[in-house]
Amino acid sequence: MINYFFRRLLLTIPVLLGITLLTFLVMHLTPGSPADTMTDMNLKVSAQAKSRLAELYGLNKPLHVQYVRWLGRIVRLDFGNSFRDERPAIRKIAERLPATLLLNILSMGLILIIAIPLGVLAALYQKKLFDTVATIGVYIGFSIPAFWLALMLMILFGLKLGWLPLSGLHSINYDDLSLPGKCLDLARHLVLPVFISAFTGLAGLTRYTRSSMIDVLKQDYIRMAYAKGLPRRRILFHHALKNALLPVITIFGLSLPGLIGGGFIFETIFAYPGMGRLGYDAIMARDYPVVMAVGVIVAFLTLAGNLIADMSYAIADPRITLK
Amino acid sequence: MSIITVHNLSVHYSRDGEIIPALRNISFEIEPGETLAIVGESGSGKSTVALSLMGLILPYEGKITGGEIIFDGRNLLVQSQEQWRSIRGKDIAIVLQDPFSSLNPVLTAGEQIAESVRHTLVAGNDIKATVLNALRETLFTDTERIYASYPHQLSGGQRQRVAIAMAIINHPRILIADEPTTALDVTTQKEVLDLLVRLKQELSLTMVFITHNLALAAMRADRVMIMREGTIVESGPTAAVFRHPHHAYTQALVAAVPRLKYREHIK
Ligand SMILES: Nc1ncnc2c1ncn2[C@@H]1O[C@H](COP(=O)(O)OP(=O)(O)O)[C@@H](O)[C@H]1O
Ligand SMILES: [Mg+2]
Repeated sequence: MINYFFRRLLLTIPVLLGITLLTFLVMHLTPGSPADTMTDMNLKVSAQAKSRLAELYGLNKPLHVQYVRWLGRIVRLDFGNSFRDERPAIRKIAERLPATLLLNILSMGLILIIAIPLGVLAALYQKKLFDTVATIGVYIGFSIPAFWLALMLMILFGLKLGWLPLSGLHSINYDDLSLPGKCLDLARHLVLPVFISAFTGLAGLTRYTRSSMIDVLKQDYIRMAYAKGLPRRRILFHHALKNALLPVITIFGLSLPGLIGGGFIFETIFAYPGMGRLGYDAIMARDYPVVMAVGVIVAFLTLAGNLIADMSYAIADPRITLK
Repeated sequence: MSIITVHNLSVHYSRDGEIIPALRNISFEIEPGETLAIVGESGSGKSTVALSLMGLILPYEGKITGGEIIFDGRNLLVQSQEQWRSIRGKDIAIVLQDPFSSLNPVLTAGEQIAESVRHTLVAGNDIKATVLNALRETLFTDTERIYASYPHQLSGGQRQRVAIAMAIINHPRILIADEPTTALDVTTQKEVLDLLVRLKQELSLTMVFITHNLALAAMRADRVMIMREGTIVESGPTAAVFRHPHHAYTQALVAAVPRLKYREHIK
């Protein structure tokens, strides 16, 4: 087991290198020198910033030297300073990452809590009313554009009914609130974004759980469990679900990038102070150090997420350990 | 008095809205203590008979459309799921064809065997001891290791013996073995067959032995029942069916068995 984890960990190193190389090349293959492109198109960038940029990236050096240098810096999490406010890019990310993680862990949790029972029940009541209703429900969530739903619900709950705040993560008076008050304030801000991203993201996992469960229920070992005279509940939850959830773990791992990336548009609509909006704003302002930092960090977290999914799989499936 | 009487049993499966008849009005009896071989080519309905006897035609694959199965004086086909559960694994047990798919890949062999007795015993210690004992009965020597193994860590023969341990642990009255050796390689086939014969004797089981191989049936069964396309073509004492097959299909089957083999070993 330990051996498997270790090898799996080693395997991520080339992937990580690939990601950094790609990020680096994309930046350098854009027409013209990055320094020119960045500075000429952005009046806010001073000549001083431009020369510092050239120096930062060692733009007069050959490409491979530049890459190795850049790599050396990002290993120490030094992504350079933002063009907009001169603050280190990594600091800006550190400020935004918790908000994105909070939103995504909550909506991921909600998706898991809803999608798995929903998929299991749909499998058990295959082609019955429950299955049909659940299927239609998750497909509605899947086909409605999140930004449209967000706007509609903001109008309804924020403007018409006035029950929920419209945007952001905190109210203006957040710092003056007591601890329970702070929690409540946070919760009220999170309701809409979490609900919408969970509702629109439900389909994949629900359908996958359903078909995986249907598959498993046809297996001989399920029939064997019946043949032993076990109660149905034990067969479903002990024998079937354990097997049905194995591929679901992998699918869940694959869906992580979308979650961590934090939906540029989604966060922008809610003026949500997360990674998505940081990246969006940085691109709009051609704040390249921040863009690259966001790219590398998101890629890194995605990789970490996949690694966790793989390892959970290895723990859950006894067949993996032997290989 | 027969231990099981099947009367006019009909079963069909449905797949994608299409109805597939699998058993058409079959009737037969199983005598206590005997070994009844059900012989027939693939698709003739042998497994469907086995599953019907245990109430294991699952609702989403098919259903029993008519007939009765009388066991202990009552018709099993009109009883509740609860009553079925009290019979399964205790009065009637089954060993399925493919030990590579009949064991749950994420549970250890020990856990899976223990489940069969969990409802009949109380203390946890007793359960494990009973399981180890069942493993000993199915000829394992390193019982502790097998107990803790996952199915993928066992060979085909070992898996089938685990499945047999699972089936006999409650000392059922009837053991159905549905092509128990078909998925195994030749050397382990004999091992598993001999084990079944021995257990039948030791535990005085009534055995339903399903096979597509008439020669195998000839050597081990008291009676044979030849099936084809969901019907019973012919049945009777093994020797009689071999010596004087009535039906043309049975004659063809008998002719296909290497002479030496059945002449020497026929019961
Ligand atoms: N789950 C199922 N769904 C649909 N048809 C099935 C199913 N199981 C068996 N059948 C069909 O029923 C018939 C009898 O099958 P079976 O009892 O498995 O035969 P045997 O065990 O003799 O090979 C075959 O035509 C087979 O294709
Ligand atoms: Mg069969």
